[in-house]
Amino acid sequence: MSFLQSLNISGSGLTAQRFRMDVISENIANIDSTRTESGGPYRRKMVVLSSTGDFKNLLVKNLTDHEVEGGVEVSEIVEDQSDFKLVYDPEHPDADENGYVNMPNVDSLKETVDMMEAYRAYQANITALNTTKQMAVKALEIGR
Amino acid sequence: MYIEPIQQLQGINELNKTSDKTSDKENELSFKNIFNDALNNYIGAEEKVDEDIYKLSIGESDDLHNLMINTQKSEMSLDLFLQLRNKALDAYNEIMRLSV
Amino acid sequence: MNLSNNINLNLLNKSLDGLWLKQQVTMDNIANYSTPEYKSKFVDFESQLKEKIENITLNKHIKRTKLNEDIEKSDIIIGENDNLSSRLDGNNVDLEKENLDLAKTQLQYMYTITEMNSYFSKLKSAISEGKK
Repeated sequence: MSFLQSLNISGSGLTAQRFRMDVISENIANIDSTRTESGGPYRRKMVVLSSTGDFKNLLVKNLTDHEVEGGVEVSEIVEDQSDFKLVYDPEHPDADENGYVNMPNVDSLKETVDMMEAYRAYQANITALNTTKQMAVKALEIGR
Repeated sequence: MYIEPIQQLQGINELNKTSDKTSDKENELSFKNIFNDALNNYIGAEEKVDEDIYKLSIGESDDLHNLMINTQKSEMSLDLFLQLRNKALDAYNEIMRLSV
Repeated sequence: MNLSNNINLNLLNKSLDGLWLKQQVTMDNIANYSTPEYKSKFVDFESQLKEKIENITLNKHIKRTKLNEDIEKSDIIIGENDNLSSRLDGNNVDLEKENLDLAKTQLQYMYTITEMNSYFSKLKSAISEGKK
C-alpha cells in the first residue's frame, strides 16, 4: 500500500491511455506504408490492456516481493491479423503480377473513433485523480 | 399528655440500606476510575498516532482520514486529562484551605 | 531535558526533508522533459527510514537516543531511472508519473506538517497546563 494508492491507480490508467494514443498515432502515420522491416505492408497494431489484479498479484508477490498495486497495464501489443486491403494500382512499385497492391489494414475512421475513446478515458482518469486529491485535501481540514 | 418517645425515622434506615447496595455501582463512577480511564485513553490514542505517523513517513499510509481523526482524538484526550487533573488539584487545594 | 528528543518529531522532520527534495527533483524532471538523453531522477528516503526503524524495533532495549540518531543519519538517496525510453531522443521522463508525484508529494507534505503542528500544540498545552 503506498501513499494514496488510488492516485497510483489513476496514474496507471493515464499511462495506459497515452500509450494507446501512441499506437493509434503510429497506425495513422503508417496508413500508406507498403514496406516494413519484416517484408509486406504495415499491419495495424492493437494494444491489449489488462487489469493488474488478484492472481497475478499473488504470483508477482511470490516472485519479486513487490506488490502489484492495482490499476491497468499494457500487457501486449498485437498485430491485427485481418486481411490487407487490395487496391488496384498497376503503376505502384509494389504491385503484384495482377496489378493489385496490398495496402495496410488501417481504417482511418476506426482509428479516429479509437482516438476519441482514448481521449475520453484519459479525461475520466484525470477527473478521478482530481477528485481523490480534493478528498485528501478536505480530510486535512478535520478538526481545524 | 403522652409524650411519644423519639424513634428512629424509618425512612433514614431505608436510605442507609439502599446506599450499601448501590455503593458498588458508585465505585465504578468514582473520580479515581474516571481519572485512570482518561489517562489510559490518552496513552492509547498516542500509540495509535505513533503508528500512523510511522506509516505516513514510510509512505505506506493509505487512510488519511483516520490519521486526522486519531490526531484529533489524542489532542482532545490530552486536554480532557489535563482538565481533570486541574479540577482534582483545585479540589485538593480547597480542602486544604478549610480551616479546621 | 531535551524537548525535541522525540522519535515522532525526528521522523517527521526527516520525512519533510525527503519530501522537499523529492519535489525539487520532480520539478527538475518536468523541466527537462525535452532534453535529449536526459534520464529522470528519483528520490528515496522512505526505504532508508524503514530499514533503520525495523532494525531498532527488533531490539526493544535500545535507547531512544540511538533511534533518534539513526533517524537523523538516515540517507536520502537520489538516483537515476535507467529504464528504457520510448522516445527517439533518449529522454525517459514520463510526464504523467512526474505530475502524479508532484500531487502526492504535496499532499504528503501537508499531512506531515499537520502532524508536526499537532505535536507542538500538545506540548504547549501540557506546558501551560491547559490554561490559556
